[in-house]
Amino acid sequence: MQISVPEILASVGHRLGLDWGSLPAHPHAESALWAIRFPRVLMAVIVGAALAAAGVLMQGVFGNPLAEPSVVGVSSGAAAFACTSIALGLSFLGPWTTVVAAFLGGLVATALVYFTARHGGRTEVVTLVLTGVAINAIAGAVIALMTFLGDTSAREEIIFWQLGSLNGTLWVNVAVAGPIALLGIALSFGMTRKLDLLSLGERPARHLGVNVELLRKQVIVVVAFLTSAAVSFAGIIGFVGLVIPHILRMALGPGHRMLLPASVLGGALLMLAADTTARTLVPNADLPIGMLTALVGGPFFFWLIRRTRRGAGGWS
Amino acid sequence: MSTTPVMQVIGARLSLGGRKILDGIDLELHGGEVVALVGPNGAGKSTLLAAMSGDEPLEAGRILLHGTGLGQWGIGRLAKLRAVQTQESRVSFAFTGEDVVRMGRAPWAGTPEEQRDDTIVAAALETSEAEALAIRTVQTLSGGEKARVSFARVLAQETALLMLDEPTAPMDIRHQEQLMTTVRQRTARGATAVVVLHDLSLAAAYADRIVLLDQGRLAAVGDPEDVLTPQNLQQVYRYPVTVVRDPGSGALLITPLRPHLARPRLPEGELI
Repeated sequence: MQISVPEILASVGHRLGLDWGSLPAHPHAESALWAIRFPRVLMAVIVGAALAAAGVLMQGVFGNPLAEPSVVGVSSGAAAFACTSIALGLSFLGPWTTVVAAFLGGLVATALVYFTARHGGRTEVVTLVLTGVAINAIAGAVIALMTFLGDTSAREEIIFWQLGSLNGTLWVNVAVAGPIALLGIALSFGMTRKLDLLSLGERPARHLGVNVELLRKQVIVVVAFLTSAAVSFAGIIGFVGLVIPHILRMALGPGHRMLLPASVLGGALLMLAADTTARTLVPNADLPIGMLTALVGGPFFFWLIRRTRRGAGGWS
Repeated sequence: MSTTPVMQVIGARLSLGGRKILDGIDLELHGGEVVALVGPNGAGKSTLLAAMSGDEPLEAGRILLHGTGLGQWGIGRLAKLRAVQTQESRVSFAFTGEDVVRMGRAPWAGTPEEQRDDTIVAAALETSEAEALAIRTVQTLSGGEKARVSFARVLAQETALLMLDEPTAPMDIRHQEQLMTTVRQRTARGATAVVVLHDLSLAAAYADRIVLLDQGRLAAVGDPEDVLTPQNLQQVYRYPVTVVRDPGSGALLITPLRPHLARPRLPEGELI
């Protein structure tokens, strides 16, 4: 269905009580716009912003540009818990059940990665990536088990999840994911200066007044927050948190006070573009967006590994 | 000295990995003095400095800053009282020299002092001759250049207590001397500095007091002339050294014995 930009503006204006322009001509356009397209667009913005912010935080606290929710297994940890809640038909918290499960999964995975890969105040990059491999493997097994255990509808939901898609986003999903992502992003804004100082290392950061132990706990919780907001309804969408902060760091410099807001915006824009591509690239087919981002982000990750290895510091 | 010491280390004991690193250290730092920590590798110099900066908790003993236990100060207030230069000066992302020096101002954010940030950062860069490094990415700097940026960051923190762990190790002669001169200028204005040094002649020239550490204990503490004696040094470093006075300045020069440089015996009867 084609709806022109003036028609969209007119429809939004109409809802706001403004009577300008002509409403969409197609009889189903109005409902398609409001029931299907708008929640999907908003969810794309939320997911992109949340994943990019989570990437910035993780890279800041690990002091490494390779840290990212999907790479180190935080996304799949969140997904495993969320899948379990879907397959077991848990609904003790109503529409919030999946997202709370995802949050707990993300929290466990982030904490696990952090305490495994940090040693003596430094990130061991090999351990970081290997921990990610291990968590991705375990989470993959849990998701497979839940696919096996779940009934047909749960199974379908889980498969759609693993691919990552914004198709079928409902307003109720937006209402749950939106506030969580907003809260997570707001909390991360309070950490930008400390993350700058942390790039000097843990001891120097402490000498400059940063409570490093507290900061890392806060980052772990906020990353789990952001990841759960993104993963709960859209599934595993990889590499957004890797690509966006990296490109913006090259353009704007590494200071987190600029990097974070720019990444939030950049992530939202990238996700919107990716979702539009997913929706329109093949006529009458909705490509899984997670597949798209992985197709682009995977090679980027390769390039980044090579670059980091050659660059200052190497793997140490 | 009748005033309260800036810092008191009382019976400090600390083990790392089952090995005693500090074994009953008692030490006082007073306002206006430069104290050099010297001793062989593994003597506990860096660990003592880390304990004094609040990084390594002690197993026994106490460390008081202005009469109050280090732990009671709180991380934020400590950052306004003491600045620390660690041996390592790696930076995770591509921050410039100026970014890093500006990070030294972080403890003063939100205070009236914040207004002087630009002036202080510029002055710190100038003092450590790091102006040219200000726009360069720290990751691309040499070891000595990184150390100069780190020292500028420590200066920008504007604290009355400076704790420097081998700050001169990667530096050339010019910057070693400039750094120690800057430290003395700060202490002349009332600051206190404790510096880990390997270069004994440098320590002798700039420190008011030398703390000679050996296997986690104080081997000797006092004026450079009293501590840096051939006997003390030979015992601690397990290597013969000679201590002479520079004929011009009278400064102590400490050199290890170098047998291969033994002056060749001149043929009898030949004039020099």
